[in-house]
Amino acid sequence: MNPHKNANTGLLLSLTFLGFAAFAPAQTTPTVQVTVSPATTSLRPSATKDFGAYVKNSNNQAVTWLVNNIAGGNATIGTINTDGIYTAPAIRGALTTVTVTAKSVAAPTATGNATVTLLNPTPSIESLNPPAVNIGSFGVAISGKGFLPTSKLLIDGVPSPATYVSPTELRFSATYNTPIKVSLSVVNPDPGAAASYSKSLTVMPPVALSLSPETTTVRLFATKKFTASVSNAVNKTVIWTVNDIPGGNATVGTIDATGLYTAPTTLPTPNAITIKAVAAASSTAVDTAAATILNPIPVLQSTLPATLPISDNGTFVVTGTGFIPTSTAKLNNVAIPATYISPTQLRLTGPVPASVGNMALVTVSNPDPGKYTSKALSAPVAVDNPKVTALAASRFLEQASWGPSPAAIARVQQLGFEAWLQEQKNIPASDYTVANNSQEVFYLQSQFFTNMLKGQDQLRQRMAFALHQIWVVSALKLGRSYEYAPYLRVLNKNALGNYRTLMYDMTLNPAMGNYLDMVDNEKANAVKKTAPNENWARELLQLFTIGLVQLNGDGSPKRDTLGNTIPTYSQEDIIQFTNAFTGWTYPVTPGKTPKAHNPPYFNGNMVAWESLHDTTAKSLFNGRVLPPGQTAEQDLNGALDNIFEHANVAPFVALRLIQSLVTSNPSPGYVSRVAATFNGRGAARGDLFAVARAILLDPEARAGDNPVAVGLINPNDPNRGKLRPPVQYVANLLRTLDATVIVENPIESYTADMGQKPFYPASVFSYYSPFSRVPQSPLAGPEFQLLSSTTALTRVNMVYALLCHGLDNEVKFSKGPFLQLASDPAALVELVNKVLLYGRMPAEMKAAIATAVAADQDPECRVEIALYLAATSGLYQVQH
Amino acid sequence: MTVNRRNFLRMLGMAGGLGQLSAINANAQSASDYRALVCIFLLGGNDSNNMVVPLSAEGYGQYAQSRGAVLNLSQQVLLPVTASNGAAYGLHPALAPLAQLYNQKKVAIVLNVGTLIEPLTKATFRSAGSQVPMNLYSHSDQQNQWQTAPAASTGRSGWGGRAVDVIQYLNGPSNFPSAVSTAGNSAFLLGQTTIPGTVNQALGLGLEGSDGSSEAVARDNAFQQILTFSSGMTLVQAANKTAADGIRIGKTLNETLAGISPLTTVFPNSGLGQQLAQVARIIRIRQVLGLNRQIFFCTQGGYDTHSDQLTQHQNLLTTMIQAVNSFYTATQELGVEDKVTTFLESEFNRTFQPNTGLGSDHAWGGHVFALGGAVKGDVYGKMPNLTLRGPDDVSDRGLWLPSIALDQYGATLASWFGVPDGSLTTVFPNLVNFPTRKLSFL
Repeated sequence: MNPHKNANTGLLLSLTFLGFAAFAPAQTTPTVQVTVSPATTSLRPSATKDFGAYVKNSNNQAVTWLVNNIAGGNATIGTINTDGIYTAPAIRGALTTVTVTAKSVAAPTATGNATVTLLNPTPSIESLNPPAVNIGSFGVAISGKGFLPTSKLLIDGVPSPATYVSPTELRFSATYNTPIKVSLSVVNPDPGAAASYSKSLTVMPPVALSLSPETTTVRLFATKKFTASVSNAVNKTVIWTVNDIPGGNATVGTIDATGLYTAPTTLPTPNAITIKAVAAASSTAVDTAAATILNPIPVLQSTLPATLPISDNGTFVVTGTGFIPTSTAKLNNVAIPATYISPTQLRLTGPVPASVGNMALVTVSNPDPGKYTSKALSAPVAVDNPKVTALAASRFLEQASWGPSPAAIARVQQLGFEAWLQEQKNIPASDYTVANNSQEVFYLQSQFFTNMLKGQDQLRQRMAFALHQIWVVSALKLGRSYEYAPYLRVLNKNALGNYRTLMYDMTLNPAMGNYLDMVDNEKANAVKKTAPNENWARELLQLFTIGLVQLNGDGSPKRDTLGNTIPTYSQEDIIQFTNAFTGWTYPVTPGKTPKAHNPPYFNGNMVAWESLHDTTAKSLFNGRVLPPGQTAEQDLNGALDNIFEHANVAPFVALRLIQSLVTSNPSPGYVSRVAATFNGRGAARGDLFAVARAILLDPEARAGDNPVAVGLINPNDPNRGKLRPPVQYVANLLRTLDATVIVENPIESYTADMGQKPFYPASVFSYYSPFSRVPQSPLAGPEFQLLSSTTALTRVNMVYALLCHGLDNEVKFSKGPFLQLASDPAALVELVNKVLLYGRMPAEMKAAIATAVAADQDPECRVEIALYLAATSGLYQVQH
Repeated sequence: MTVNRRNFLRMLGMAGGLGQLSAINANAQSASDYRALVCIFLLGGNDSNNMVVPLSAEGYGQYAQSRGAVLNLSQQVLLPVTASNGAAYGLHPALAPLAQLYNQKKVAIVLNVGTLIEPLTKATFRSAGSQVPMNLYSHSDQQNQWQTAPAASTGRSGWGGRAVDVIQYLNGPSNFPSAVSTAGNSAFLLGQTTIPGTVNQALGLGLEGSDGSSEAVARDNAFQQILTFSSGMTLVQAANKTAADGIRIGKTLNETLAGISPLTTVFPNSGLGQQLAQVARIIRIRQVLGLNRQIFFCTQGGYDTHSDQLTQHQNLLTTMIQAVNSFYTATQELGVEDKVTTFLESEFNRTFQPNTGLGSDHAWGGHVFALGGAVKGDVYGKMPNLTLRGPDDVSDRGLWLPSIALDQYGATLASWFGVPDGSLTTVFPNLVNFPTRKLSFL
């Protein structure tokens, strides 16, 4: 019971009673009557209707409800609840009407009826399955409500066959050959005939599928997203295969439902694979993509260990990604064997050389297919347990070699100075080759520079050139290689030998004989009124052995009581020595008959022709007299011995070699120590290796190896060092930058522009005088003779040419280590400082260079600018 | 900054400051108070015995006798010139232009000049108390002495540089040195205060890569800045100073020469010819440079003819005189032939006696000449007696004792250049030892 409803009913009944009571005449107990309202109604399946019952003439309004005389009804005829709410059956069946009856509880015989007409449902289409179709024959399931076996399907208003499946589903089939959009509706018949709203069905062209990209490459380990566009289908789902394997596999790679392809970890064979997509909507909608599987891109992250020990036979691990068993590696652009460990590790085994800045560049390359070289990884390299610092080794090599190449620095650091010198002593000389008799000395100049860069005999080469600057033969007069090369070999042979042997070999060298006129120098000829040529004797004494004035052991001139210097020889001495050296001619050309004046031939020693030799007695130094009647050879050796024994030779040679190798202004003590070695302290008199060693290991040479060292010799002596002469300037730069040079290189033309054309000194006075001074200063500065306001700029412009076009593109060096830092001016300058100035660049200079570097955005230009400004600075131009 | 060499040179040629100079007609400059000295140094020791030969019967007889067949020039090939006193001389056959200029009275031939500290005779030369120049017969020392006229007070300075020290006040302020060498550093031009410059044979040099871009400007600024940093190291400071000079000189020369048309005078393509061509260019722009006094140093090498002398010497003198002659023509073109005096130096004469190698060896006094419109053309001095072991031979091979000191020859030039008489002994301290300080050829 619904109390609420009862109350309303009670009120209504009460009012009705009062009305009746007021206006109806009193009667005896009347008959109870029941009225149902509404009396008739129509309902669609499952629709409800709220019936009301009025029990007349009874205070008891309660009724019971029946449908077709069945209390509460049932599913077939519909049900009614105690409140009189009737629900039509969900399925009408054959019934067209039912009777709803209300029976008074008070007077059960009193009933009232209402008639319910049952109608067909109103159909509705909720969805189509499929919601769209493709041309051709197709079937569609129509989902909806209110469908009857008698429901009719209208397609564009035209009744069409459909199959009743259930009240919620109809099916139909159709055939269309062109795309179209049709309108579907469902109509139910009477009773209650009704039509659904229409639903459109699109008949599309056939299902199509296209795959993108159509062709592609995928690297091992990498993924690639493929996109399949399914058109004309509602179902966009595709089925993926790799080489017809659904989803692929580890060999050919896998692909997931989204089309994300993951390449395998090793290269399949063949490496061309096919990705296929099939539309779920249509097995004929298929597309394929061709993918070429490539080797991965190697990416380098670090080395283990982080600093690589410099070694001829090193091993280290490089970590990164994208490594494969066929990966190869390079260290500083030189192949180094690589062993595959894993995709993230390779082991490299081989020489780990020193390199510019000792920042080695490692690259890993993967081969084809898809060959690729990684970006370079820079890894520091260093000598394990170095005997000396890099600064000390570099300074030492500026003095002892043609410059501190990375390899040479490492070697000195490994061996220490003494052992390095001993090693150098035994390295054979870099030779000169002469292809034919027409070759000019240019070819020797080129070899001179290639030898500097390639030859291991660095100490010998440096000493040979220092001795060349003393024992001058100029190619201005002997311009053919075959004339000049034997002279260079004499220098090489004796550079670390004995000075007395050098004197002998030079005296009899045909090029020297030609240059200074000892060849074919006859004794005086009374008939021709000629005297022997004095040139050889004079220059031998003045320039090659004792000089013009008597020297103290420390190289300073002796003075007489008036303070004047004391000549070493007189014109008469010159004549005496000249006579001693007469009677020599060119070596006998093989196959020729010896003559008084042999034709020019430059191999081997000059030979004597005794009848042209002056056989008178010769008065030499210190009262030594060569007796009359000696042979040319006897006189020659007697004269050379006499000169060699002169007290000047040691300080004369010591000063020149110190100036060539180490410093323009050695202290008297330094000269004395080296001269003492020349004079036989610790080695044979005249031993040039011992002299070189004494020069290079002297505390004065080594002061500066440690700039903050405190000792007797000031490492920061303001007068220290020497201006690099042009040949050394270029050589030092090239070696420092680890440059290579073509065989027929143009370097000589650059040094000539700077005032020093190698092997072509202007005269026997060499390229510059050991007596030249630093301008406006009492200091010695031999090389300053070549530094004019003109050559100061040609020197700078040489550096420009070297850095910017490799001296006409014939010199090559790697800017690699510097380019690594090009984006960071301060770091770039620091590396340049390390490489060129061994860490000695002042802060203000660093700042100036960094500012100029930052003004240029191009990485190569930045490197060039930084190197240019450092290499042209006075601090670099002066070896110190 | 990657610019190749050739492009750079082209840029350099176009980069000069045209605006400043375009209005100047270099030929129209006033030459009212201008003088220039041009020293041509013949390196190696010129055999001036064969440059000027006496043609008197006695003189030529001595010549022919001692030069032997080896170095003898026949009378037929010698170019005859006559001194105002009637004496006849023969010039080397290569020197036809010189003979011509001599006949126009533009050339002073000065005989037997050499390095001396005080007047010497053969007797005093041998005596212990005499001052004899150090290291006679040594190239390096005698070159140095010819250039420096040394004395205890002169240090390492040269007499050309000291002359500029004295007359520097005559020049206006200039970015360009008064003393310029076309042959690299020289002792000659270095003064006590004067710092000479060098030029090469083309335009002035600049820094390659200076293309005017902001990057290049930044680079060059840093370069200049680094030159100014004090390293505390003498050699570094000296190198920096020279580079700074070079940049200033090169820039001045480029800016000043830009846009000026070339001289019509053609110079020979020899080293000396090109050096003198550059000297002529610089003389031409003297007014723009603000210089009323200029001194130049040029060299020609190869005179150390110890063997096979005759051919070599012929070639050397030909090259020399062609260049000198062109230069004189250029001074005429510029209207300064009276303002420019060119003069020869060489470290020594050669032994009169040939050696067995068809050459000659180092000797002492020799002959030189000065050339120019201001020169009083004649032969000055005394031809030595050309007899071996004769009165003028200090040895037995014909090493002439000079009768005129380099200092007297130089003082004559320096005096004309503007050095007051009172300052001549500052420039040539040893002049005090000589009764005659100046010769009369200028």
